[in-house]
Amino acid sequence: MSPNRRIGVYVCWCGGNISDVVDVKKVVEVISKESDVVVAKDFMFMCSDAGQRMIEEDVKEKKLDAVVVASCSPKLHELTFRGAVTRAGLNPYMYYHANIREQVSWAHGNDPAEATRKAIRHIRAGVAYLRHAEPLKKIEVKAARSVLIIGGGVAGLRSALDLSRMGLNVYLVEREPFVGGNTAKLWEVYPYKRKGWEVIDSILKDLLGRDNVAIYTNAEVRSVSGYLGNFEVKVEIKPRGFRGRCEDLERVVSVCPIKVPNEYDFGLTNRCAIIAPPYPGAYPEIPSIDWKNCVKCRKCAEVCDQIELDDEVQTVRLKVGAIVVATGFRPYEPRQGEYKYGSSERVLTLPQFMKLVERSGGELKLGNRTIRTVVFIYCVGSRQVPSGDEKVNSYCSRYCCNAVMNLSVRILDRFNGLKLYHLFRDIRTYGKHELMYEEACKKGVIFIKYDENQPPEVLVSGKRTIVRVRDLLTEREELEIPSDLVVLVTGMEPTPNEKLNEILKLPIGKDGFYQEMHPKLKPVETTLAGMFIAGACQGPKDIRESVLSSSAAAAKAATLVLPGRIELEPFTALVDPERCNLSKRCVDECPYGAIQIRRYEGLGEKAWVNEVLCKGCGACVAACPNGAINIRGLTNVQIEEMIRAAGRE
Amino acid sequence: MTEVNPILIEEIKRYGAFDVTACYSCGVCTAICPLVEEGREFPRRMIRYALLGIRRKLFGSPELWLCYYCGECTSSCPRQADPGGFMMAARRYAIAEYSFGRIAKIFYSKIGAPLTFIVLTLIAGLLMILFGGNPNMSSADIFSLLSRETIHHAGIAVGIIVLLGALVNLAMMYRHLSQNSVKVGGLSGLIRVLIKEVAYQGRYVKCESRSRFLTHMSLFWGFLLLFLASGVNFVSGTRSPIAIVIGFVGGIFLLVGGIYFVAKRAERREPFASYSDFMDWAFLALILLVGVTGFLLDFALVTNLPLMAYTMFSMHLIAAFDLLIAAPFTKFAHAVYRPLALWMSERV
Repeated sequence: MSPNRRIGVYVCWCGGNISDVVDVKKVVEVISKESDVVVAKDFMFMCSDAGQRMIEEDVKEKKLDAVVVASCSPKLHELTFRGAVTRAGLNPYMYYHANIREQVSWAHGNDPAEATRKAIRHIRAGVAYLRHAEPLKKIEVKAARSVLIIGGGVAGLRSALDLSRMGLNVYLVEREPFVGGNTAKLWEVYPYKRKGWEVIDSILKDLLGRDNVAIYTNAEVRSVSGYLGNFEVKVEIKPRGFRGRCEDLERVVSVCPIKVPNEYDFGLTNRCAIIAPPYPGAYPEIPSIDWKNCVKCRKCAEVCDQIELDDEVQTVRLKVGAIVVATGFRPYEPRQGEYKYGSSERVLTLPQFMKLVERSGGELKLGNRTIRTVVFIYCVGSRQVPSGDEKVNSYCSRYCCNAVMNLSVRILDRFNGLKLYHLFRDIRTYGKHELMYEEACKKGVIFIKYDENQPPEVLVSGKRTIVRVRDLLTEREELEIPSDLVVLVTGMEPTPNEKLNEILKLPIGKDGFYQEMHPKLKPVETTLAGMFIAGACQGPKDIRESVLSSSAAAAKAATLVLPGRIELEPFTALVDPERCNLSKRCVDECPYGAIQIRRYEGLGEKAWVNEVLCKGCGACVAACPNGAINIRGLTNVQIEEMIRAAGRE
Repeated sequence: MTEVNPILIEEIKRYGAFDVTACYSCGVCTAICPLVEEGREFPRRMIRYALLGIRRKLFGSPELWLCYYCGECTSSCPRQADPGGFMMAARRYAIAEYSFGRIAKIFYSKIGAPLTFIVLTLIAGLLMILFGGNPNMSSADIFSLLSRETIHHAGIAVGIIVLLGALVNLAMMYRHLSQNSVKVGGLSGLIRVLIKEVAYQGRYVKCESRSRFLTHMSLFWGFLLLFLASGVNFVSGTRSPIAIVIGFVGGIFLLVGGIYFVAKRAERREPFASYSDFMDWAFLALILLVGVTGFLLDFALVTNLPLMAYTMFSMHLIAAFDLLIAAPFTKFAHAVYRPLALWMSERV
């Protein structure tokens, strides 16, 4: 079946790393008797210039058409030797790399005889592989030199700025009327005194002047089609309802009859159906109608002639090479009655309390009451203890310990006579933030450790609010803390993105956040080629970490699309349409959405693999009941022959 | 159910625990302490009680007095929260807390303490003038200044006052401890405490510093020998030669101990000496004054220098008066609080 191959085998000593255990001479002697093996040699360092030159010369002189090098891990030198055979005129895929160091000599140092036999089996498998190998070509795809960013919080904006600076066209789509996300709503963010909106502003200042950036607010992605390098995206943009700025915005706002919780201060106050720019430097600078709540009574339009309530929704079509998803998080909203949240006005969440502090003058006040004692309850909505089948957030939200520590230090500096109690489960002020913890201690914050199974109780009776807690650091001393305010240190939850998730089909982890391809090696890549994740949509992150990951995602997206074309390894699935019986199991099984049903001329509808999306995982090969699919460069025949060769005595 | 009390820690901090809020309850102090035993853990737990303001537990804990302030905890604290300094401050606070009507607080006030000593000195001086006779200026005879009977009666009066004060304060401490369900350890326990911990100060040996153990022993035995000498004089009614020898040895012990601790406190290098309040200095000053004037008095009597003898005698009596009257209300009171705490922490 296979043509007669002329195969060269090169066994490396690795300076003793291999040859001290494996009897290299014996390996060469045995292998040189294999059919199709024209030459077999050993050498002290095959990866050296001399070693490579020897292979190149042999290929030319002995007219070899395939080469096995038995040496270290392919992760180290596969590319080196592919280069060598290419230079000698062979196809780079007519090469097999047998790992007899990590998998043989290092692993079996105690049994040289068996190690030698194992090395021979490895190499025989390599020879068998090459007998059935065929020259392959890298897959080349054209790529649009533009990137779509979904989400305009600190992560999205940072990615946008990085990509724009690298010369790519950037389209940023933000669902809310203003960019800035959660970061812009926060007060002073650790570890210094800058406010959230100031952080956003410093990115925006740079971003807004750039001519290769388009920002769409009130906008949502409606569909994404295509693949890596060639995504086609449909974006729907709701009108703002404002043509420009109104002279007397306060009056316009006051005539609106709608009252809904104001998300820009986390529901601490109410707002109307007109959303004014919520913080200094907000972008865009003009207000927006909140269409979800507006009843079109037109009272505002009577007061200001800049208001236009009948503008149409616009649709934009974009072509992008890559997509960065930066949809961020949503602060955990405590359940009604959780620690009396919602039923007592003296129970707030951490973001709400931040807003309260921001608005306070010389005295910290809630209503008319001066606040002297504040009790913070940690881990609300994070590290939840499962009870029954209820879905809980079992992860740590990472930022809350630091945020509450920073806030405590700031308010103790600012307001006199304040007493703070922190009811915690564990303090996780990792890294540099440890210093804030120390400062908070030194400033007199009292820390009380509670048991997750015996959480604190908030008791409200009349004007008194009392928190009851058992302190684990004494002998579970039952304490009562009379307090003026209880602050629930709430964590992060994934932003609800049902529609977007249906469109993108990004993999979602158990915690509900988007899942990266590999936590260490591919932390911003996803299983979907050309789609990257940035910021807290991947899991709880603070601003610094969000910015880090968004710059990483930008760099990854840029390296992909900057050259304008993308080269991919050829190890992809290939359907033999004549054998396909359209079971469609491969379509269901493919984790990358790479298989479609297509019409083949003369054969009708059959499965078809988009080799740009395919990662060569082989799931479809295993799923196909007819054996109609093979992976290029690792066909079923090759695998079977390799097993047979390796098993031969 | 205990209501948290944020005031307590603020108050204790005034007595010397300046950095204790930096504590994050890691427990290194407890782990490293050479004196901790199972069921009697400190300083971490004591710090917790103070931070949370659980008065009942803090002052009901014999552990406060089980610490001899070797300073190991302070040197190994990862937060520089000075747990040893805290224990000391808490003891100072406890001395005030255990005293009748918290009268001892005055000895920890910056103005009150020196003022009290001035008043005590004036009272002593006044009493001497009131009861004193015409001193014989030709030959040194202290009984010409104060008659045997006067000294005798004054001694009994001061003794009763001090004893009463100490007993009342001990009862207060006992009440605090028993409210926290700590019980006394029986007669055999008391004897063990008196031999092992008072006479020999066995726990002190466990602390790292050998020299501090020895000098503290020197101070303690110096006091004891001097009391013994006074007792012998008191009973015999004369200056017996045995009393002179015992007194001489006692005086030397007292001076050695006193000078050592003055030097350590001046040097401020070791944790226990890093912070000294007015009482720490006043206590040492009075000890040295009593010791030095005692020796000079003997010298003046032997060499027959009347003026010097009467001056030294007056100073000696006044200093001893100040020291003894203040004893139940100052750090001197540890001489009774510590044995009681040890007795009450013995598990029988």
